Amino acid sequence: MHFFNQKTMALLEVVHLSKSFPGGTEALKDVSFLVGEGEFLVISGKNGSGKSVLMRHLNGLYKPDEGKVLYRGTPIFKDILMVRQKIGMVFQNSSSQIVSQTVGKDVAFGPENLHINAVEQNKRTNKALEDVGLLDKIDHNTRTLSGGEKRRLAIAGILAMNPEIIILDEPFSNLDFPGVQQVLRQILFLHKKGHTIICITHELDKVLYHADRLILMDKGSIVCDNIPGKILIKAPQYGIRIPGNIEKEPPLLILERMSWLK
Amino acid sequence: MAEIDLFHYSPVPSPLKNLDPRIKFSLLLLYTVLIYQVHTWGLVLLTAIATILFFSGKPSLKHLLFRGKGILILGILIYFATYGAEKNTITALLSVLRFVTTVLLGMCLISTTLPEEIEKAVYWFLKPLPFISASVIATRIRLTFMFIPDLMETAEKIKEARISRCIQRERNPFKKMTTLIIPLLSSVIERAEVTAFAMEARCYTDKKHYTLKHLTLKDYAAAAVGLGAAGLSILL
Repeated sequence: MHFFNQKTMALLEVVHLSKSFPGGTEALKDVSFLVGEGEFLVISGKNGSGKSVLMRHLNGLYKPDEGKVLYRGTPIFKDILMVRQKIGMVFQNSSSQIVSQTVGKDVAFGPENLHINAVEQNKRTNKALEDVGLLDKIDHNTRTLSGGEKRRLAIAGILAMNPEIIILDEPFSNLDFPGVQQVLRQILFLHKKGHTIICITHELDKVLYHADRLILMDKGSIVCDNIPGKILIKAPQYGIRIPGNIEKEPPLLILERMSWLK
Repeated sequence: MAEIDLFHYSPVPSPLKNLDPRIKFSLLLLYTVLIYQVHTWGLVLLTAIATILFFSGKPSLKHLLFRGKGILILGILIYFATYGAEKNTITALLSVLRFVTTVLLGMCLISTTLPEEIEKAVYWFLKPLPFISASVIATRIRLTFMFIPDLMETAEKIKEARISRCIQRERNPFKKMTTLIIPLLSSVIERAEVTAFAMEARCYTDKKHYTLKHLTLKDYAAAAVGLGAAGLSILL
């Protein structure tokens, strides 16, 4: 397992991030953490804990009220288009992020926006689809894909932009068992290829075994940040279900069960 | 898995499929205007053309029956509305024919043209106009073409949910309508928000660069045939 050495330069730095919405809801309260290169980070918390709001800050979709996000030491808003290429984002509802009628065209949407030439666009599209195992469906209508395939298509759309970091918001929601396995395999493949993975989920039992680090959020703040085995015991008190009895079983034994590929 | 509906791009080969979207779009606009201007035989000719083109795309019979119901109901409404105003059966039937032909032509365009191609064609038409953000309008039209069928699907799901909760017993038509419209609107807004975020996250800006193919001999020939048929419909 790799655990980010905070002495080396961080790929992504979140510094004292705060965000409130009209009406006074404090979505994020002084959130700070670092993400290292090649790390597999899981951010978890119950509904309304601020996970998705945090995710939208990492790609510059939301501007914080206070604090900043740095990518390789530079504030993300200095060159937001470059940052959006490097920090890819897969949203919870895959159907809503599909903007084209065919699989190939949808993957090419990002490279098209970057004004990359057609030959390179095709190359990137084919490679991304090959990586997610959907190359044979390049001409298929996106509506005919299953839930797991749609999510993999969303990942391919991000891969075509050559990102370093891939952020996945609730990647397993609304998926059946084979769908979860497909997506999980995909995430592990990307991590193995060297991508930094930030997986935002409350379904820890599906993925935590593979993670290097776990951040628990509650009411817009980070309440724990450490390797999974050390803070797993605290998960239930923040409303996150774990597959086992934390009072009777050792955390590492429970952690062993936390993968739907096992 | 969703099936391909009539209001979606269909992978089935069709003579219209390889035509340049600008030609298809121009002819659609021209025919739509003509449908409401030509005399009876001209209208019959346009309806025949629309019907042949529509069926050349081999539409799914199941979806045809399903969507046909809605079109039939609208057709009946148009018939009675026109008959009520004009008191003439032929005029009322012609109004229905005009409506059906318009729908068929629209479905021909949608089922044979990718929304991205429609976007490019719209951009090409709007680009010369001053004070208009051609790329923004073109993108909006593309997304509309993309999401209208999904909205219809969402509306169907909401309808089913209402039926399962005995909406038939509700006598207040206003309440009946709001229980459909409010969740539908909320779903549209939510979806639009996520789509906008997802597009932005993939570096979408309004300074988009479009590459359009050059028109081929086939495109010019199709335009000539289309214009010839349009001229004939005026003369008839």
